[in-house]
Amino acid sequence: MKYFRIVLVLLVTSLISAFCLSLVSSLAKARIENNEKTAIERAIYVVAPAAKKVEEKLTAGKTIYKLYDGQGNLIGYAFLAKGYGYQGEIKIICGLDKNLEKILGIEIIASSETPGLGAHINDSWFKKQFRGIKVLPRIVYSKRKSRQDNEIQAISGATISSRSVVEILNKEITKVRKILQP
Amino acid sequence: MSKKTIFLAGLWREHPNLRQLLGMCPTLAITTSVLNGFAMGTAVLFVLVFSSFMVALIKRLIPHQVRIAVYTIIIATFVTIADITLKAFSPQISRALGPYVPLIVVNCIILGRAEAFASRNSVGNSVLDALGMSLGFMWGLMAIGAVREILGRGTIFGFRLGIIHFRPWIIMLLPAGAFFVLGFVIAFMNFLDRQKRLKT
Repeated sequence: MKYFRIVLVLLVTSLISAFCLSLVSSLAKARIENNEKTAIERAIYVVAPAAKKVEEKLTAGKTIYKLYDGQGNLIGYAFLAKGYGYQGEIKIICGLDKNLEKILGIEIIASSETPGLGAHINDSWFKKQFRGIKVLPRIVYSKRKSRQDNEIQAISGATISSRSVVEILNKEITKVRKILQP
Repeated sequence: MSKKTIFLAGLWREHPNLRQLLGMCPTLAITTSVLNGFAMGTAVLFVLVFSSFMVALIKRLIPHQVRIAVYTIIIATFVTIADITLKAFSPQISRALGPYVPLIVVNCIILGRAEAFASRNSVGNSVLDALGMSLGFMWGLMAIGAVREILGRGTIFGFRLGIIHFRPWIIMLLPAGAFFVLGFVIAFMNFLDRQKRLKT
């Protein structure tokens, strides 16, 4: 009898809890998905200000956004690239031109790098460097003021964070190029 | 105990994070700005008040052997509701607090209040105790957050203070800074108490 009561109390508590959670979750689900989508879309327009229309396309398991200008001409592609930085995950929206040779721009939508050091990857001077650089054969970083057309300058004191951004981009760009250009 | 004593205990005398040193994980990790402290405090307020209310309400129905398991289920339910709500209505705050909202489940303050207070007192007193404790927790986080934000970023509530020739001390935003400030705030509280005792 004693054990029956214990089991019953636990069962009832868990059932009520599960019911409440599934109710809240189903009410909030659409909103949460919508929030994530707006965050990505907002980043896309920052990455490619010339884009007027964005078309979502799922190819080979990867969501790629096609970007069109006001006249409906294809100007490039955008996609999400993510990987690990110095402390946690870094999520980047990257825009590529329509020939898949140059970066249109990048926007970092999530990161948890060290404040004052790696967190500078969120600064506009760092992100702006990527605008128009060549992705072939690959993006490289250095500590001098960058000169080559596929080179960016790393943040001093935060080489790991800078390198992570470059590597995340290189990896994802290679993947996207393979998908779009078989 | 009068209602006033119960409510005020958490605000100073038995302050949860500055006196009992409970809930150190969010106290040290998310207090890089006042607003973060406020958001975390609000999430804890919601969870603590509702958990204490539920525990006090059903305390007679729970068999002694499984009380902790039942408290944990109750707490986890409210924490998940808080987490989902934050994600849906203020994704920015949710991102700033990261995993520390789901981690409220294992925050000792909540389980501590359920076991030490709500399971032995009336519903009304338990809610008062929970309110006092969580408001205490909130001001603790905001005080540490304010010091770290002013010294580490040169801003308060996100507004630039514009002190000329001031270079933010980045260390204040790093974990080490959190420990420094925590120590100083606790020392300051003890100092005020001693002043008061000397006077009387």
